[in-house]
Amino acid sequence: MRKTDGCKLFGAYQALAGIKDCIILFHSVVGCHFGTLGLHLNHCPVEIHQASTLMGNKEVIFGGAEAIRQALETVLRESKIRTICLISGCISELIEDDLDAICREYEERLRLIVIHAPGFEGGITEGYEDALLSLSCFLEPKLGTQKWDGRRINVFGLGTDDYCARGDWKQIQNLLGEQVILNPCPPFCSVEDVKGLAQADLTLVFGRGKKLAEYLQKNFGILYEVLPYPYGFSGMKELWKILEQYLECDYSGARQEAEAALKRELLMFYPYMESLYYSNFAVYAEDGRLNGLIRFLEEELGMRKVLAKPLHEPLSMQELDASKAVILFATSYERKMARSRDLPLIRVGYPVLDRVCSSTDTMIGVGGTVTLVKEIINQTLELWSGKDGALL
Amino acid sequence: MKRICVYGKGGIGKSTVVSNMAAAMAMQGLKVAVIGCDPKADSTRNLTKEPVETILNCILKKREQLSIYGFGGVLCMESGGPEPGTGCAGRGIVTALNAIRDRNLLADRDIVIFDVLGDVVCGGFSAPMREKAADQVYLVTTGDYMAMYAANNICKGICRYADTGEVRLSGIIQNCRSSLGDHEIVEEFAKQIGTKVIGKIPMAREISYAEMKHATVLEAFPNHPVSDVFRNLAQNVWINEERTIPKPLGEEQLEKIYQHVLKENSLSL
Amino acid sequence: MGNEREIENFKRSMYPWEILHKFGLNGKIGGSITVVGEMHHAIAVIHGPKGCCFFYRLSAHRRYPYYDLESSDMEREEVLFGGAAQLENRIREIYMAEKPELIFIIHSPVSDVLHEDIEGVALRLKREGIPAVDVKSGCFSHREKDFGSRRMAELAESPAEKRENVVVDFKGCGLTEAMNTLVDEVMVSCPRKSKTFNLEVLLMKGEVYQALPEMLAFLKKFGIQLNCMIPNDPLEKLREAPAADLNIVSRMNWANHMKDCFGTDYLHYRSANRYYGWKGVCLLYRDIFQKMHMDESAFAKLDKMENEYLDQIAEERAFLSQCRVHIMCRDVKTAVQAIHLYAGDFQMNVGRLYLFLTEEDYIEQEIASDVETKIFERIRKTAEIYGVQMKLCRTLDDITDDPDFMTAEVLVNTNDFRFERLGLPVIPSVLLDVSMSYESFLRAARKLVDWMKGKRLHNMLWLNKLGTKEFEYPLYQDEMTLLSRKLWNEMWYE
Repeated sequence: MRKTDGCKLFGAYQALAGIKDCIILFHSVVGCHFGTLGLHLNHCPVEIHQASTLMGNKEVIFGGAEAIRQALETVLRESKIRTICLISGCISELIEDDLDAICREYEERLRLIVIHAPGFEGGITEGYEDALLSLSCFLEPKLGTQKWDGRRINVFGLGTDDYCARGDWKQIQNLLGEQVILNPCPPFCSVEDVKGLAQADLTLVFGRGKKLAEYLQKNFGILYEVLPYPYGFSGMKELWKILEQYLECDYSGARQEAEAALKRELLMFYPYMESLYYSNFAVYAEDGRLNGLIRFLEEELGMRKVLAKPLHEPLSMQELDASKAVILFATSYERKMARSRDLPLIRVGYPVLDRVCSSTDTMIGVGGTVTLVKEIINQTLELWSGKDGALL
Repeated sequence: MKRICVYGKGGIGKSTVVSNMAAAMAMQGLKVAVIGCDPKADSTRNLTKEPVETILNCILKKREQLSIYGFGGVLCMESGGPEPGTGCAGRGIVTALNAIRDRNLLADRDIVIFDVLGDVVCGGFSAPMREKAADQVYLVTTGDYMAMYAANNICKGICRYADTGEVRLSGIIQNCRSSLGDHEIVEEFAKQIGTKVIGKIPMAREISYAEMKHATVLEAFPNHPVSDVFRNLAQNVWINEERTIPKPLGEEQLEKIYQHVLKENSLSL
Repeated sequence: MGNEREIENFKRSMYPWEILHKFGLNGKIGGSITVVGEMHHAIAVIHGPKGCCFFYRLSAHRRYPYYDLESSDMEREEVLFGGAAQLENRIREIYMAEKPELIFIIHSPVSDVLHEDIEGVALRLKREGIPAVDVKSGCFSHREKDFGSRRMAELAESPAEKRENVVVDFKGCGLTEAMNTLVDEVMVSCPRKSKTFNLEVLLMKGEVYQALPEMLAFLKKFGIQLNCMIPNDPLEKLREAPAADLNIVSRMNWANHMKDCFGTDYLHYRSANRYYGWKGVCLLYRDIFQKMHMDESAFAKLDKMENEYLDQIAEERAFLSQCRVHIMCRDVKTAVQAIHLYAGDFQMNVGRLYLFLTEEDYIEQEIASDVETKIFERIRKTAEIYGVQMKLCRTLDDITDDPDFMTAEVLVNTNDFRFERLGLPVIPSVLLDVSMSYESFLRAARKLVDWMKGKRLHNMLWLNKLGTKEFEYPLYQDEMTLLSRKLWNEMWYE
């Protein structure tokens, strides 16, 4: 019975690590830095924007303030970066390092955002929510005199090291077309861009990011909608429907085009897709992805959900066996489980660490939907047993 | 080698007892070590006169010399620790004890006394018991309720580690400076938890005078009767082999011990 | 047998360790679970918050997720009131569900700060018949930060002409602690089996991994048998590890511990200064024979077999002696080896030794100013033995300005394809690792001949087109990444 849920620190990292002109400084032990880095490298090794105060025995006993100062002075001396996300891990929280005092000390020279993310106080979702909310200090109100360039939305919920996240982000931009502008949002934006989050007309929350969305609604009157990750045509349709409802857009043309494109592409897989009809699937993914995936697989491929669990709950082999699933949608950590039963594993969620992906790889939109179906078929074909006859 | 640690409520007089007892043992020809396990690093001051460089500071500065010899050749060490309100003192004690062990600094000693800060407030302060550094525990207490309450709590810590280790309670040292001045209370408490009072330190201004001079009574007032008290205590501790797993009291049981005091003074709970 | 080991090596190489270690280092938990991960029927439980387990399921040294890792899942309540009880219960559950033969309890920084009584937990569980052991990690006693500089200082003092072990003992990354736990908790005293040895195979990869079966077969010819492979063999075999005459190990700390506990002598094979190249493999077997107290006839037989092996590659060596090459070296620790190997063992016609060290190399290799001269002198002297001139280069211009540069056919001893930009083909390094078998040396010689015959410049090589700066690591694309790198150096090396 193992959970595939990381701690708050990983969630904070997922929310902030892609922000371009801000460095992540873990105030923690070496393992937290190495751990997040290890999971990051498959996704974007050219952008390593993190460091650590490397708390050791000395810092535990005497407090870690000096190590933070040393890191901050290095930043001041060696770069022009002036925004730092200080993510405080278990140890500094245990010994109650006075991070506010450090902030005061450096407030004229650096912009320090402190995120308290001890692993014993929550999981990835909590860390993501808190970290995103910590950016609220940057928000600037919509200016009455500002030239307004059309309808804008925020989209929250993507993690910097989610499988295909960069491709998915581009795909969301494509889905919006020219009618709506996608605000650059964390983790794929700059600090400057964060200010602009308060200048949107709507926020869409793909599973997580609700705290900041609520803040935006309360303080800036920007409404928000929570929806599942937009897998498949059903995901696209829901997204467009919400945009039409809130922003008076018209995506009927886009809908028709997408449907036509999917018909054309999926026809190539027709003989294989037939076997998916009424096949049992299990899905073990983050809350935000779970329902989007289920909807796609059930409604669009005719598959049958027999097991669905969020990552913060444990999944056992017995459960999986009992479910009689013939395909599993989960993370890389479920690979052994899947292999032990010759079960095709489609990697979704976090972490995916035995696949690399480019910034054009996506799992959503027309291209992503085709990729997902192709992945289901190819993974299954790859596992053909090679055994013959009825006495398998 | 005899390895003991002394626990008790903060300010109860542990360091006074330890330094005087150590001095008495040294005068009796024993090779003694005192290890202060308190960030304040003042446990051995009466033996060394001057503040000593703490073990943690020595480690930080990569100094090899972690100890100095004090009065009577007592080997003195202080774990040291963080400034008040910062860091983790418990972790400091663990680190200091590891350093002593790794360097084998106690090999030639006949007896080692650990003087541990106030209470077993976290895992780090149990280190002398846990890390097999000491196997006999002495509690220092007055007759005051809160002092006994702390002593009782420490018994809970001993029980926890007695289950899987060698640590045991060997007795209570009563510091008779409570305004209650009631020996019976401490005797009764000792009886109920399953141990005995091994020594009683009387109120004596010479103890305070000696401390003002950063000295032990044995050094400052060797002929005063209170020096004999410490000599006796040292002798008792040296020969004492009693090792019990204490039976900590419930709060009600502890309060019951005080009932007669309250009655005698026409008070009620 | 096919090329299973080569395939496995290829797979193991597909792991971005280089960049990971330019920016960070794993915590001690990683080392301990690596040991457990190579064992049969063992499970590791981290006593800490779930995040530690979340990451370390990706075994630090393997490109696949580590699965059989559990967590006591400490939350706020366990932090405030202690988590020993929760740990105990979790282990009971795991034991009931999976019946592992051994359960390693691994400390986390949180449990270490709280000074949780893990030893007590293991003892209580053992009384119930649950095979739990406490890996006394000391999460904060990580590898000493001055390890690199100390090793460099030792190397500077080591005479180049002697192949002496450069021994610098250092605290491990959690590996030692887990191996010590095996010694303390699994192994038992048992009667000695003459002429047997244990072999440490932890994280074995590359040429050493490939040579392993050859080594075992060779020793068998002399009646020397493997007792057990540590830590890979089943528990019942590990239990009897003290029966062996000798431990052949790549890490000394645990071997010293086993020597203290059971008196087992050891031979440290991963000594980069001794067992490399042809002479290295000869020395290795002689050292093993000496430790095993083999008689003179065995040594005589060894001499004879060595000559036979050399005869097998006479043609290859003759070919290599006709090849004019320059040695390109970016690591001062292996420069002496490279000279002996290419100019001595392979008898190549070596023109220059280019010791190319950027500013960053100085920091990474911890070449302090007080040892720099001695280190370079050591290399220069070795080069002179073979009439090779050493040239210390800080920039690429330093190399190309050398009028003799283009007199060679190729640059050998470097995996850095970027040197192709200078106009000479590059031949990757061979056998800079330990030589564990004679066949290993033969294989390297043949490979070198093969590569020399097929040498070419790769004008279209994508790897060479990536990256924005001339000779920076290609992934340092932006200011932030460079800053991250500087911060790592600043905070780690202080």
